[in-house]
Amino acid sequence: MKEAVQAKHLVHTYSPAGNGRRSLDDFSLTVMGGEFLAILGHNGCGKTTLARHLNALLAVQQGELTVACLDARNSANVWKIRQRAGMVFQNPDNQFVSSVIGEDLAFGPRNFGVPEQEIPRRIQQALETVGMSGYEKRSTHLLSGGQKQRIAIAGVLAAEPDILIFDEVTSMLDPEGRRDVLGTIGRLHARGRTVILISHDIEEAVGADRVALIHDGRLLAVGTPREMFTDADLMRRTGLTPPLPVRVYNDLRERGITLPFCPLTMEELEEALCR
Amino acid sequence: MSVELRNVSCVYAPGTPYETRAVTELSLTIRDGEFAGVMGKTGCGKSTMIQLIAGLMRPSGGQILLDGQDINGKNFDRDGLRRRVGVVFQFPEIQLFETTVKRDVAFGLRHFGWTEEEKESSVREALERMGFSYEAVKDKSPLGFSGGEKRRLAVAGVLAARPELLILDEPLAGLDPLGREALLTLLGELNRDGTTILMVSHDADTLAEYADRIILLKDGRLFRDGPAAEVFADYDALKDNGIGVCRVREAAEALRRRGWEIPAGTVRYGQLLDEIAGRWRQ
Repeated sequence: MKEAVQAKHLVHTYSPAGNGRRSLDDFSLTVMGGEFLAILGHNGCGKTTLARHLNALLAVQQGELTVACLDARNSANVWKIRQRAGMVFQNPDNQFVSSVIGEDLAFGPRNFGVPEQEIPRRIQQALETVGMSGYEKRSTHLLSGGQKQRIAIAGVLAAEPDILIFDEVTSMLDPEGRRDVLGTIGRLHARGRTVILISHDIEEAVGADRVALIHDGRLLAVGTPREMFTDADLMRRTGLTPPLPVRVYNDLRERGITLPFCPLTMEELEEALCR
Repeated sequence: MSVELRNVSCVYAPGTPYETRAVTELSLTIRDGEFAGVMGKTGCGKSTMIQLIAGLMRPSGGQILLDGQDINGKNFDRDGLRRRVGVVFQFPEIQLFETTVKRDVAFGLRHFGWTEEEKESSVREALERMGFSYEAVKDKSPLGFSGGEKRRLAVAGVLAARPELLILDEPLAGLDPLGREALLTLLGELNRDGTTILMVSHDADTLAEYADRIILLKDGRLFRDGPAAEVFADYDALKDNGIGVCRVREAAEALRRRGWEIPAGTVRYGQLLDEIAGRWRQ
């Protein structure tokens, strides 16, 4: 499968004039098409700066970047990249352009010049994908947080992107809304979309194909969730708390109890303890 | 500061087609010096409740008493209320705006009639309470700090008024693990030194670890109220009502289903670990 994203030696600073801190510093990473990649790191590590590059919201200052095989350094590609890589943000309320859901969802495709007769089909399909068919005429402000965020996702889907970037999309939601949105993200991945999930919640990253750990603008490590989360040294360096089952495994070992294997999920914890 | 709600109701847009009952016949007491957590689904009335307690809205019915005084009573000192009750809203760092940290943190103090010395010492104390060195940060721009630091600067701006009751609405949202830990530790210290804390959060794990008790709202009514060990013990009832419990309690439940004798009130990580280690050795 082709590369969805290829970043090579990216450097970015928000104050190019001075000796500003590098938000991205010699950053290289490849994301394969159809992959579910989670990106973790502390506040200010460069996660959002990276996400903004993937959507061509920030221009490449130094290094190379291709998104959906389009060279991001070429300004002629900006609109194409935005169409191929859709981004969902943290606060659902900041992402609506219309108070009527159907109008809101039409905004993206209209901007990309999709023929008017094609738009209703796109809206319906997007709503169906996020499990909210029939909401076209409803109002955005009467939705729950989870529903709002699913509509924000539908708004991005209406442009039919191949790559979806989620920047801390669950941090403002209650547990039910969070489950809702994560379920939707999982379904989108299962249907073949490339998913890049930026999060602070390590439990959300457990289901990803790979996890990238970013620290001070650099890629510290990338690998399967198991490889990343069971590496105590890596977790310490990135300031992340491992998922609960891994913590239990580590802390039990310190007490002289070694479980048969290191569990990553609750189900695995149960199995490791009860076998 | 103690807080008492007596049969409090709040209706938005009464008499119109948009009439919504946000809070219904809510009665509860928060003792002076307590660290209380407030939980519930989006739309359960959490925000309405804290706005009522802070005196930002008047109830449609019932009474709200702070230290035994009805805050909506005729002779109640509403100006004093603004100082004595501090509210940290969601994402408070977006409200940072001044040119220096010192000016930003001092902004809320302008109308208290305090002298410059009083203001300065209060700003210094608030910043130190939030883990900053006053001398190191006072002349810097508040906008040049990291996300976690900005959150703590914004909380300092509320603490500068020396509130007796500190209300926080989702103070941890968007913070990384280190930022959360730092803020929680500082809030814990503040609470130990006498400030009553009311913290709204979706994060059941954090409330289980830090709060003395959990107030759980559902559809504008009090659904459960007590220590986390009690509130989360009733696993099935919470699940049936779509309320998330903490991960520790989830793990305890999974093991209980497998026949492990772990108390239903296992809600803190240390507890869970002790229970597992104890059973394993047997």
